[in-house]
Amino acid sequence: MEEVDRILIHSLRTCGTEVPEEVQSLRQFNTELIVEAVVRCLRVINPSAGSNLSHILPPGMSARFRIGTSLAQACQDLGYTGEVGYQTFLYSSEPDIRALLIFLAEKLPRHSHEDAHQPAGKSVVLQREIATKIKQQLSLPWLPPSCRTAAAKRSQSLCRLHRFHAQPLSLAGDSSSKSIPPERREYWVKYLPVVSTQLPHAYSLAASLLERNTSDLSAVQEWEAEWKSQGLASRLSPEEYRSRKRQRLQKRIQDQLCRCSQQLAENHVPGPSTQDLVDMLKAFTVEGAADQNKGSRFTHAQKFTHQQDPQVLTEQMQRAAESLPKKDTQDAQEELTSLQQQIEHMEQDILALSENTKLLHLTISQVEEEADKLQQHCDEKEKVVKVKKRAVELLPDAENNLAKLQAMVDSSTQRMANLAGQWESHRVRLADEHRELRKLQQEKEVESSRWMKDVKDLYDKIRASADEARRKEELYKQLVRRMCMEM
Amino acid sequence: MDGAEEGGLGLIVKLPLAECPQFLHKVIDGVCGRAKPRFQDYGSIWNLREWLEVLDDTTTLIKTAVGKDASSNETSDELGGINPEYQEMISKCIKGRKPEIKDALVEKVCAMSSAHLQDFDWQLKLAMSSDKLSTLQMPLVNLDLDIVENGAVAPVSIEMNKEELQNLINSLEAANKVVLQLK
Repeated sequence: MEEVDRILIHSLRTCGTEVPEEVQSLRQFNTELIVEAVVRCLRVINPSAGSNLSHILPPGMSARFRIGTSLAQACQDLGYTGEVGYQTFLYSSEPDIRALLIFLAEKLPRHSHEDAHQPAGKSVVLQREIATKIKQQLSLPWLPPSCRTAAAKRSQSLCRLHRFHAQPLSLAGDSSSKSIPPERREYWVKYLPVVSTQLPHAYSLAASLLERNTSDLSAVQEWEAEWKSQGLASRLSPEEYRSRKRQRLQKRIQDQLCRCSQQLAENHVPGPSTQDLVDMLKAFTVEGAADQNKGSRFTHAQKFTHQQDPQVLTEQMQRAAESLPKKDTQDAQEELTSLQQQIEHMEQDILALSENTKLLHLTISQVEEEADKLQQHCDEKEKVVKVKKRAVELLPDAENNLAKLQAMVDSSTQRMANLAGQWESHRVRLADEHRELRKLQQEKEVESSRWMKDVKDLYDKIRASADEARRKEELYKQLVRRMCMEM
Repeated sequence: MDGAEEGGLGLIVKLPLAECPQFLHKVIDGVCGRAKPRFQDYGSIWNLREWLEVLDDTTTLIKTAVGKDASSNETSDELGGINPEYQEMISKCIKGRKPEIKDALVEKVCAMSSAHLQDFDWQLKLAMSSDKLSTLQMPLVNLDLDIVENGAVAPVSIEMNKEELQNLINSLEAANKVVLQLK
């Protein structure tokens, strides 16, 4: 305990509490000292929360009570889980105060010069370097471009600012994994260039690496979160779960696309019912293309045989005769316009004809439908006629035929009863079997859900103990460090 | 493929076999969105017309081979008229880079819409003063969106203050929720 107290008192001193030299353990702390220590720690940990607390204990009882309550509140806000209230400070017990002070000392930020003696991790070194660099640059005054020294140019000119522009990188994966084909491994070994030479601009390297790292990390995190929330509950292996999900998504996308295309078709061709629409579409897709070709060929033929015959030919002859002597640009213009008119005429013809064919197709399908209906009607009537005909044939010898019919009906009922008896015997056996199997299945279900629950509990426990272990490790490291320092 | 002898792919035989993989991997890099091979590195082997043909046909071959998920046999069928050593080399290269090419192609297919976001960048600025106020101290965020529309990149730049940014984030989160529900 004394060791712990010594470390605690040391850290309290470093955060500004004036602990008298003769105080060696927490037992010797009085109320004033406790309040001062807690307030000083709070101020270091969270300056905004600590600034409105006084570190000097007022003489009035109600003021003391108030300060005790607000201190307790501040500690709880920091995440202290132990029992804490105004009585902790005003009527202190040694273990309570020790626990609270240890908690606060852990929350204290490391002092930079204190850290400097200790071996720090790479990221800490980097962060510290960045911080000093920024501090240094901020301390320089801004200079107009023409007055900058070389160092100021480097930090203040805009030419070193680049857009954060990431590009895809090709990185080698885990080559020891069995599922990697040898070709891929060969590419990694022989041809894959170093990351820094993969990009056209060196400045996009950092951005690309950061981006790649972030996307990989977030993909893994997202998968883990999903697996823990839904995957485990579905009781499938990860591969099965993935393929199941892929199938589901594919089906969904397909449905959406189908629906969208249907909507689109409806919007474009407003029809009274979908059946008509489908007919129309069929007509378009199956025969439409051929028809249009046919139509145009037909109009071509028409053009050559009929329309052009007398008038156009004479016109053309005339124009040719005229153009021979004159060879004017105006003539060419006229010819052009007349030809354009011809083309327009022909286009109109084509349009009209294609409209016509569409209409005809519609009528054909309607007529076919009607014919179908009539055929059905006819079939039904034929059946009725057959039955009636048979009855009429049997009518002359009615007595005998009636008796025969009766006998047939009797034998049928007897057979029916027989079959029912047989079925009953089968059914009882099968029902028993079914009931048994269901019971077995229920038992299995119960057992497996119990297993599931166990696994989940175990998982939580593992996580909790990992957290605990990490926390203890940190505490241990801190204590060792302190001890080293003390030595 | 009869045209392979004269066409672009047949010309690949001009390249020494040892340099072939390097060239192919460069082409694949180009497919994956990085630097393509440069003409000045290969100018001594092909003239400009041949170069364009070779590059074009190789790219197409790689894309179709991975796009159709063809096995190496089918790929070498396509390469009919070429020296078998080269054939083997080409299918080896394609096989080695398959996952990357596939990712690049899938991304391209996903981007198939009227407009899509290719890249974004943001900067945080502190406006010290304005033309009306001598001290403003207002943080402003500058969001740049690179939007590809009909194959051309159209930059869109938005400057927002705190509330506007919060609005944007809220609407994006709502959109994300809808997307999650679709899954």
